[in-house]
Amino acid sequence: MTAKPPDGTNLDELLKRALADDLPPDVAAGMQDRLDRFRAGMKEKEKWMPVRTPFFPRSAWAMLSILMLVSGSLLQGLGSRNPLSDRISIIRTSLAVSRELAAARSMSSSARIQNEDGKSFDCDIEWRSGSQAEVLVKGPDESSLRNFKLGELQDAADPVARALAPFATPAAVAELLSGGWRFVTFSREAGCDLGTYTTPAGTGREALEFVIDMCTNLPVRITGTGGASSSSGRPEEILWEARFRF
Amino acid sequence: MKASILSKALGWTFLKWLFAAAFVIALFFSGLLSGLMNKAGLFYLVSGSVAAALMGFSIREIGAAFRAAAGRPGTDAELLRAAHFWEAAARNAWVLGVLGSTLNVTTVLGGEAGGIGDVAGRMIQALLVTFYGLVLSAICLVPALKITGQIEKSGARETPAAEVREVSSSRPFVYERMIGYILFAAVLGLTVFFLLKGRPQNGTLPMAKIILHGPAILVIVGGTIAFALFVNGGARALTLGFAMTGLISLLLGFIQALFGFVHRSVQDIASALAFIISAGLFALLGMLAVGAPLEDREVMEGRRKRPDSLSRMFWIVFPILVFIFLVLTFIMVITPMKQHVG
Repeated sequence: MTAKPPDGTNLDELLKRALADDLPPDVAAGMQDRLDRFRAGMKEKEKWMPVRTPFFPRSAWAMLSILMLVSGSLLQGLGSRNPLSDRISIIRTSLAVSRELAAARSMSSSARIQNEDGKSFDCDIEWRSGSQAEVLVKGPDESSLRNFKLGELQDAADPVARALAPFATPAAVAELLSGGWRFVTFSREAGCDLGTYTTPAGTGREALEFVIDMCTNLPVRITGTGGASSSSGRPEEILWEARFRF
Repeated sequence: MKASILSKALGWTFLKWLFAAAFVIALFFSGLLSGLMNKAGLFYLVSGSVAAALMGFSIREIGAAFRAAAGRPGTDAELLRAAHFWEAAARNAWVLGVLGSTLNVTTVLGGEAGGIGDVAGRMIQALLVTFYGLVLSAICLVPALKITGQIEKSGARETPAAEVREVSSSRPFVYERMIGYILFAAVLGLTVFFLLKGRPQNGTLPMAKIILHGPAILVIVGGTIAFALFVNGGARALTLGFAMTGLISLLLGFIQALFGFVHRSVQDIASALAFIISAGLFALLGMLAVGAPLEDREVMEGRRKRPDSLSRMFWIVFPILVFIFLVLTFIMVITPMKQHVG
């Protein structure tokens, strides 16, 4: 059986002549139908148009496609950064930080903050799960000491207590870090990645820059800033700084 | 006599559709589905289906398919073409549903990061679009199966390609296709706009930057062109190219993410998950906007009796795989992990 009849020969006529004597009409019709379907199938195959290659010759498209494939694979394999992966990294880290802060059993922090007169002073905060935080406040000359209990930090009337409240407990720190994170950079210290992020200023809250230890998923340092530079995203003026140990 | 039978059949069909519409409207207003409501998703799916139909079919062909679904008799070739239209509409709704979920997940991950409750809630809302797509796909399959049944009842299982070619439109329908593609682009743009409305974004056109993931675009487009040139098999080569390249990319991203978990590297995991989502998005987009309309034209112009069986398989299976990978991505985003010290 061939796809095309021999040149100059009408296959139907040929079939009729060759099979006129020994094939009943229904068998001949069936055979003819089968031949028709075979030819139709071949014609359909012929109709599968090859992929057209507009603008450039086929070889140029082939080169371009291979180049695209290889460069895409290399970019992905070498871990090139892109906005979506940065966002996913931020979501993963922020969820992990919230989880770890909620599970923290103890926290120590050292903070340097400014009072309403603009004078800076240092304070140390010790927090234990189930007990009250103890806050030791040192003055600018390191002489005047003041002790707070956790309950006293809720006192919104005392400006020092109000300034210390955001670092007093892990829950308060988690609340402080809630909001839209932006990735700044990764660095490596003592075998662990440290991720630096910022958050924009919110209602009654300064813009923040903070460093997360990727080994523990806990904050190492939080800095309150007077706003971020539009070009670099880094803080322009440091208002206060707190360092944490868990 | 014949006209009265026809009008009776059309009236009965109209009543059936009216009853179904009344049921859906009553269900909608009952509040039972309030948890399943995603207005942006609904808008995207319905408008996207219209646009996708215009990308592959002329208005005349669409009208003929609706008339056939309403019970108007026709020749076997006309009914075959109408059945193909409804099958293609079901396919488009299914692919659009998963594409919508992928787009939605991208906007969720690309937006401001809230707590786990916020992210989880928005991700689940994103997956609702697939549910809508499946429902619309089932609705479109009803006329397809009904018309196919009519053809089988009439005893004409195989219609010669020549007959199909005779009834096919010789009039070029460039305008319909152009309108379809413009409408489709507008639907995608408006959907992203609706999804982002009220949610702060950072920087200039950040969502465009997030969606246009360079490595995924390069791999999917490059891989598809290479596959199509190698196979050299018409429109089906493009459909298979997008599907195969997409599948390979999904697996590549998944393996990379697993290695990220082994090495406890947040950056590697995030990069792999971004690749999975974007590769799925662009492969589905390519299948829907490039492969499917070209295969539809081959069928409607009588160059082929039906779409390639491998293409049909991938139109069903590939969106399912993308959906599964989206769910896996969500799980990997919220799975906690700590780095080793050292």
